[in-house]
Amino acid sequence: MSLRLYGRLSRNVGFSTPVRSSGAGWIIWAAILYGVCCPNHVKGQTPNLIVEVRLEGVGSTTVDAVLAEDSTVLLPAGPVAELLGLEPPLTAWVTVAQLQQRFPPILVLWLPRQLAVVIRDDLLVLPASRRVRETVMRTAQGAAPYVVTTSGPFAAFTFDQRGQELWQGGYSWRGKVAVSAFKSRLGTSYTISVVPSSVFYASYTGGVTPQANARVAVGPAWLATTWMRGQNFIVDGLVTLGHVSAFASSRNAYAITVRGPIDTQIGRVNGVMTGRVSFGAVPPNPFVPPTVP
Amino acid sequence: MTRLPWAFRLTLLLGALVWLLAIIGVRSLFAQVAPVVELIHGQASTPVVNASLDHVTVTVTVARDTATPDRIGRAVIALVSPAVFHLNPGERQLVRLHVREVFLPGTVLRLVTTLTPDSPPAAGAHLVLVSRLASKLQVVR
Repeated sequence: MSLRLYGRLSRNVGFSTPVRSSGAGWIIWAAILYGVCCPNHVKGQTPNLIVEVRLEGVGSTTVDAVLAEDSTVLLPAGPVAELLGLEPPLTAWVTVAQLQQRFPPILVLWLPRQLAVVIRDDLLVLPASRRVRETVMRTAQGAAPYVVTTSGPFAAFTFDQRGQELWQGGYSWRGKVAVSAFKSRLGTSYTISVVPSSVFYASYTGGVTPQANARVAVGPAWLATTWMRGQNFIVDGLVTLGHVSAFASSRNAYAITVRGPIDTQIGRVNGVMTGRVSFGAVPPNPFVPPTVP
Repeated sequence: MTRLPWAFRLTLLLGALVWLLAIIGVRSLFAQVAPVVELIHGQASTPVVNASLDHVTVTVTVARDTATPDRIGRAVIALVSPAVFHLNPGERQLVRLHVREVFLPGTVLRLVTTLTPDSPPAAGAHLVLVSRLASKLQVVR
C-alpha cells in the first residue's frame, strides 16, 4: 500500500507525489508545512485597503493593508514596527489583535469608517513613545521659564500681609527675547533672556546676585551651564543612547539610567553611590541621580 | 373668469412634478462627495456621506476625464480604499485613493461615486434611483 499526496496550485495546475522520505517528497512536505505553520502564509495577500496607523503623540504612517474575508485587518508589520520603534519583525503582517496581545497596556482601536488604527500608549510601553517623551524632557529641562508667543509689555504687583511688595515688569518680543525687571525689599534686578528656538536658551540676571544660565538640547544630547558670582561654574550634561542615559555634573554627581521593563539607575552624589530599581508607569528622572534622604 | 385649457393645466402639473422630483433628487445628493479632490503624489482622501434617508451601497472608482456628457472616461489603475461599502442614513466613510498611474500636474481625473439604495426585497416592480457623481480629481503634484 502506498500513500500519495494530491494538491492543487491553480485551476489547471496540480501535483501528485508519493509520500516517502526522500527526494521531492521532502520538498513538497516542507512546502506544505511552511504554508500551514509559518506566520508568513498570508504574504500573498493583495492590499485592498489604505490605512493610517497613528501612534498618539508620536506620529503616523499610511500603509497598504489587507481586509480579509473575515473582516480581519492585516497591517504590514515592517512600517508598523518602525512607527512603534520595534525591532524589524519576522512576519509580513500583523493584526490589531496581535498588537493588543503583545502589548497589553496599550490601547489599539480600529476605526473602519476613518480607515485608521489609533494606538494609545499612556504607560510608555512602546520604544517610540519613550523616545518622544525623553526628547520632550530634554527640551523642557532647563528651558525658558515662560511660554509666550506674542509680543508686548507685561507687569505684575505682588504683596503680602506683612507689607512686603514685589514689582515686576518687562517686555517680550514673540517669546524669543524678553527683558524684565524686579524690585523688592532685597533690591532691584533685571533679566535678559533669549530663546531663538527650542534648542537653545540663555539668560543673564543682573543686580544684587548676578548669574547667567544657558541650555542646549540637540537630539540625544543636553547641556546646561550656570554661572553665579562667587560660586563655581556649574556644567550639567546628559546623553541618551537607546535605553541608556548618562548624566554628569560638575557638582560631583553622575547617574546612569537604563530604561526597560524594570528601570535601573545608578548614581553618585558627593561621594555616595546609590542604586535604584523601579518599574511601573512613573519612570526614573535621568537628570536626577538617585538619593536616599 | 376664464377656465384654463386642460392641456395647459396638465403641462403646469407636470412641470411642478418635475421640479419637485429635481429638488428631492438634488437634496439627496447634497454634500455627499466633495466636488473637487486634490491628488498629491498619487494619493488623496475624501469623505463620502449618505445624506439620504435610505441605506445605500457605495461604489467608488477612478476614471479619466473626457468630453462626453457624463465626463467619465477609461478606468484608471488605482487602489480605492474601500471600493465598495454600505452607508446607513447620515453615516460617513473616509475613502482613500492611491493612483498607480503617473499623471502630469494639472491633469483632471474623475472620482466616480455611485450610490445605490438598498431597497428591501418586495414583490413587483419598483423604481430605484441610482446616483452617480463624477467629482473632479485634480492632480496637484
